[in-house]
Amino acid sequence: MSGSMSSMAINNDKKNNTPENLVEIRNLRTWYPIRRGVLARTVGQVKAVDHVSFAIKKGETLGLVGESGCGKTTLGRTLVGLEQAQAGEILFQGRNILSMESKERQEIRRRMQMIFQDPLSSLNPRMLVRDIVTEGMRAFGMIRENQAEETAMALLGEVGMSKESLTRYPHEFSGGQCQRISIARAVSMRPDFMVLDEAVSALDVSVQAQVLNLLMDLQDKYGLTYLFISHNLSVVSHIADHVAVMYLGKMVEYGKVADVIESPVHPYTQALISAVPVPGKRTERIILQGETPSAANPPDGCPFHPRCPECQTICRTTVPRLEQADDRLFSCHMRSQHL
Amino acid sequence: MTDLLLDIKNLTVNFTTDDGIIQAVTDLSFSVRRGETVALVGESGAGKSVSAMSIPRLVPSPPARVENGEIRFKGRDLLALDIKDMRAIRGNEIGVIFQDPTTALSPLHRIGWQLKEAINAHRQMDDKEAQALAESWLGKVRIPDAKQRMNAYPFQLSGGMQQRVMIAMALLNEPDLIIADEPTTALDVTLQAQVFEIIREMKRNESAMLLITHDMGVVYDICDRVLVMYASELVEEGTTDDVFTNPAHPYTLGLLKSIPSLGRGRSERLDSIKGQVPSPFNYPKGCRFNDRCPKAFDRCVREKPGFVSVADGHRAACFLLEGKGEKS
Repeated sequence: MSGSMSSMAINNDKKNNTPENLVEIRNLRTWYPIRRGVLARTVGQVKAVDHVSFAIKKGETLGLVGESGCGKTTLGRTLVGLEQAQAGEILFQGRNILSMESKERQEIRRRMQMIFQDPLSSLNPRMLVRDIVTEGMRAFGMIRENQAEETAMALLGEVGMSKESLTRYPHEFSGGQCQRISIARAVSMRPDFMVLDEAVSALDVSVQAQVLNLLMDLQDKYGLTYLFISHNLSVVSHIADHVAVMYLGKMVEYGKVADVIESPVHPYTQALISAVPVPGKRTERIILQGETPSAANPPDGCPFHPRCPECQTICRTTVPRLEQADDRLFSCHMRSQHL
Repeated sequence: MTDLLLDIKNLTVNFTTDDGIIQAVTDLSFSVRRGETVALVGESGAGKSVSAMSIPRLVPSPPARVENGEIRFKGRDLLALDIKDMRAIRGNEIGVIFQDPTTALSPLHRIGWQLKEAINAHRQMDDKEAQALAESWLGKVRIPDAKQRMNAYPFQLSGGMQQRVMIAMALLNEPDLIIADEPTTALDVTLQAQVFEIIREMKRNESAMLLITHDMGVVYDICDRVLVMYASELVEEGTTDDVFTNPAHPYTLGLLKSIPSLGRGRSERLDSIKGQVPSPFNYPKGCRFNDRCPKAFDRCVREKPGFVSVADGHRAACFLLEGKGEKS
């Protein structure tokens, strides 16, 4: 992997200035209507993302963790415009992209890229790798047709692939290589921000480590900002600066990675972290009973209360507010300072 | 050794395909004693599933063919049994928990029917007794309202519950050997913790479990011994503590170093293993890890390394260990 020398220099620069927020979301809501009957009346809402707010500083990585169905993927897709937000704001460099004209939005699209979980299905099987990685640039008029070959070669070099790959199809590559091609395609747009949705989850550990290294190198080299969505806490704790924990559409805890992992505040985060098997450490687990309720029919009060080992009466009736203590955010009645 | 339950010797399994022969398992030997939980680890395509599923002979043949070796289970060679005797063992003395419960359970039959089928295949029992037994097992794997759930179809249950039904089905005949093929890969981590707790509770002391996984954390947590496979071969074997603290094979070392650790905060680059797993159509000559090994030298390309014992019960196949232990 190239460019580790120059990347160090940029990395230092980045840390000297106080970085601004590149992406900020405020009270973001992505709800899906449940329609029934011949008139397709709306009978309910699946609250996939429910009033979530956070900010990501330029050059930093926010890890977004949670279990299946917690809304983390929907949140990532809403950020890049693949899902429609019902309410709230998405600020990119301080400007709300949800209220932008489509032309202005177009430019923002280039600057926000996404990497998907399944490397093979996110590449067009009928396109050559050369065309895949340069399609975006051609669409945006960033290169001329006769530069495609040369540009593609440079991009593939950037992600550690040989030039023989140019004239091949996606099915000829392994999962890790396909993910590298996806990364080359995203990076080709010279983005500022990338949403990585379970980008290494489908890969074996040895390949996963290679791709994580590549992502960290590219981040240092280009000063990229990442939203790293994953169910794998070990991977998130390796790559992220901050972490947000979601449960049933809501953010239940937010803080610096090392703080959250070492001293989780919310009972859900505590159970989640204790459930991760770690080589070299055998610990008591907090075994949660039952399963995540459906987001179409969430419980009253705190969404976590039916599984929470510390549940009290107030948890069943009142939704806890997000509170701040030092630089940690959490929503739990039992940890609240206002009781 | 009287408590020897399973003894596999020189097992070689190949798949014949239109594109050539896939070497799925090559010259694999290991044994499992009663009471043990043994992990079979490796990356995709390392041959762990084929190795494990060869024991109850659940690898479809053709295309698979056992070229060589024997699988002794409680002293009998399973490969020599006729199909009727094999069926009497499957699901009875050997229980299998499959990776994906949505495809392993029949979508057309109620849970209760499927559980009772597993009972009736091996025991003489009237319907009432079988019903009661099945129900009690649903309770044991902590499915709420077991009585009502007996009438549910698999699609009416969540993935976590389906996996628990599978566990009940695999364990209700109290098998001597449990083969669990990535039983929690499809589940979230809090459900994974639930499922392993149930498996741990349900596993009888005299039975053994062979757990196939790629999650080294799970291995460390619940297994007594580890078998590491790379490119269809066993490369290292030992107690969990030995293998994790003193990995002997460069592949095992690389694998352990590639795992991001929980809780250090943003950290340095991981030590990854370079390159990728070789194609099973065409493994490298000599040591199959030679093209990715940071310590490979010319002998690794020419010759296949034999096993060297580095500690009691801990052995690995690498030339670098010669002189550090006894050949075995």
